[in-house]
Amino acid sequence: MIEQLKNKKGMISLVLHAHLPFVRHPEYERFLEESWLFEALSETYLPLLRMFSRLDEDNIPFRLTISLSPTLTHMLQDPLLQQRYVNHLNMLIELAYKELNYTTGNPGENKMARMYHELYSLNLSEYEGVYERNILKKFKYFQERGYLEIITTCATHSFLPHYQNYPEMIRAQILTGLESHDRIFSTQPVGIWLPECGYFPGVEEYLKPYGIQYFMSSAHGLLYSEDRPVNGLFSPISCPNGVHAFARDRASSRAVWSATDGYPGDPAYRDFYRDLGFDRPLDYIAPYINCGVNRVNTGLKYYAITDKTDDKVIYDPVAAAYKAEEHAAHFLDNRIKQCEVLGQYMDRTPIIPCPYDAELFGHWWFEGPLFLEALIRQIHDKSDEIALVTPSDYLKVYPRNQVTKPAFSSWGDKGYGQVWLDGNNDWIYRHTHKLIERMQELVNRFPDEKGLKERTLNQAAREVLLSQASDWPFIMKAGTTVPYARKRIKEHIHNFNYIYDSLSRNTIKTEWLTRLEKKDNIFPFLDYRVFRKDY
Amino acid sequence: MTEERLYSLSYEQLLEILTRGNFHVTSGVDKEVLVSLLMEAFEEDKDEREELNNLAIQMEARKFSVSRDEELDLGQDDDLELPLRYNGTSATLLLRDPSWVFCFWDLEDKKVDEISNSPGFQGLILRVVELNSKEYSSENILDYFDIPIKFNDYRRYINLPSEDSCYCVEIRAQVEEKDYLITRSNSIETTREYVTAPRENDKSNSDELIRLSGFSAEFGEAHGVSGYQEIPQRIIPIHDLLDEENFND
Repeated sequence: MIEQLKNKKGMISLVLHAHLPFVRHPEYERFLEESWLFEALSETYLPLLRMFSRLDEDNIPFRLTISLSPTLTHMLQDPLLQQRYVNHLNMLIELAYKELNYTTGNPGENKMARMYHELYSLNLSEYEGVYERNILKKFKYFQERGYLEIITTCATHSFLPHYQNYPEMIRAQILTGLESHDRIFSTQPVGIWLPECGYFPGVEEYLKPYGIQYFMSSAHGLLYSEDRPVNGLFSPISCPNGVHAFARDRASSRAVWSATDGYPGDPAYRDFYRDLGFDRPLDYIAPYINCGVNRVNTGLKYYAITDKTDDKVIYDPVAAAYKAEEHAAHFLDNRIKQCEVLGQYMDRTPIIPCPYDAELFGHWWFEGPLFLEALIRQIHDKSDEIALVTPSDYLKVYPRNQVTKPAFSSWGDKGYGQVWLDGNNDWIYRHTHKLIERMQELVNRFPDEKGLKERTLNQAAREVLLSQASDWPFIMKAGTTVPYARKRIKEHIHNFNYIYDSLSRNTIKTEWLTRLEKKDNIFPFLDYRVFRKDY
Repeated sequence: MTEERLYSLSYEQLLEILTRGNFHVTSGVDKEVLVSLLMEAFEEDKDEREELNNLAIQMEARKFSVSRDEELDLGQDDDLELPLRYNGTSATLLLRDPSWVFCFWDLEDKKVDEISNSPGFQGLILRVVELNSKEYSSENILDYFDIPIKFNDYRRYINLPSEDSCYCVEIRAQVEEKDYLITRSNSIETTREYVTAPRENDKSNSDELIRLSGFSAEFGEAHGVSGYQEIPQRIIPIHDLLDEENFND
């Protein structure tokens, strides 16, 4: 395999990062923000699995890297959320059925209603019948088939550069993420997705002891390395301790990410913004929206992007699928051309790393999974020229790479830590840092507890980790569902401080603790001693 | 928040929301007027936010987008009040980007009393110290500058003069002609914002490959890519990167 790869014009590495924050509210019958998971399941994860199955059936081998975050994998296995997803699908099937009648006078919309009815019915039957509500088993299956390289990320997707003063916390985030991964996939991941591609010099020291071979970096994180990277972005660099950094290629990112001239903006594709939740009379749509009064997205979207007009044309799935194939061909041709040019200057086969948010494919860009499938098939057809590889495949071919240190960076706006540290969200760090200090104090005070105290300390550790999710400061900055993000951070800080005070007074309320354990039930294996200095 | 949702709220709730948004409405105005004022305000707020947020943020935000309209903060997070501070004495420095750091600190009440009652006490200063290594020692100090602060200040963003250097901050009390250390923060290392110069014996095609990576057209001595505009975004803004254009055409 190694010699074959060396003879190609280039290698492409598609890396999908699938992540959602821990959102689970058993205290409510329905909870709006849980739909983040349900939409991602319906539009991204299930379509991706379907695509993998089709490729498998057609004997088209592929190598894809996918990072599944520990918060996401926990939610995907949670019986309450699994049941709620089934309820969600049933609700949408009912709405789509109702739409079949409502749209009888409008053939275009009627066709769309039928499409959604079939799609949600298929989702339900596969989710229940094929995956038995646990789609992770299928991801594991494709990993075992050799198609997927599943990697992980930090426990709660903490933006590590803002916590670099606390080595025990960084280690706890990484170790808990790895343990969660191991328990599901029965393997130690060879790579890690640093949340938000947030790198700070030295973070690799926490990765090496656990066998992590590589992480993904932003482009400038690699290009501004201590020594100039002699191959630009087209081969990884090795940190001095041997952990490798692969950087995002800009040209291929732009083709997909750019909201203005990227593929997803094509007029033929489905419009993300035009949703039935806003188009139907309130009394009609009420059972399917938030509390019957707040109009929200339902997922049923009938129109194509068309252009900047409210007068949209009905979505045509066949035309859109054709367009996705066309875009895949365009993307691949450009990558081959890119590799041909790069090959003139390099003494090795160039690699083009293409990391993306997984949820872009399907949720935001409805045809994204079709694009990926077409791309994989076309790469297979041109396998004499180009290969689809994972970062670890590349490292097998080229284990020795330039040694230097990358620079502090992220893939967020402006390239550093601004998204997670600005006037909208900087207040959180006084508290989240204090929580870490107090957690360390608790570990020192209670080094080896058992029974109720141990349960309490484990829950304290869970609350510390949950308070650090990068999603909450991100949402505060982005300005969507801000009250919820603020509330979540405050709740975790409050829960921790309550535990801290209770332990100081030795007045732990078992009932309160049990309730909290049931609510914030993530990482049931968590041992609070992970915060110990010598753990 | 939709118009329908606003109409479903009581008159008092609408007034409360307007008051929170610094609108001063005299009582007795029609409900329609209140709703229309709020709708206008939401629209303005949304436009402003869209302008401020770059595309990268908008893209990731899609994951969290449940509604076309933004949610209205009806204060549901106000139930849990967090302490403003923890009554300890410490300072923390966080690196935000190559030029800016965020600093927050706290001074214990006992300490504040002690300092403010010292004879000859003149004020507090935040000293920004540049170091030649991440380890603090008086021999490592390269330079420093002072920012006057008050007892009720707890945080500040600071613009740093040098890239690729180390910094810490100190909270100091000025007493008569001297100043005394109250607390010192952690040290941080700032970062580079440029592609470093090639090594002398570099026989690679790094100039060309870095150019093909979409960075800087000129090389030689440590040449920086100028400022934030050029830093690649998660969604890359349109600018004239010739080689990328070639690859994507």
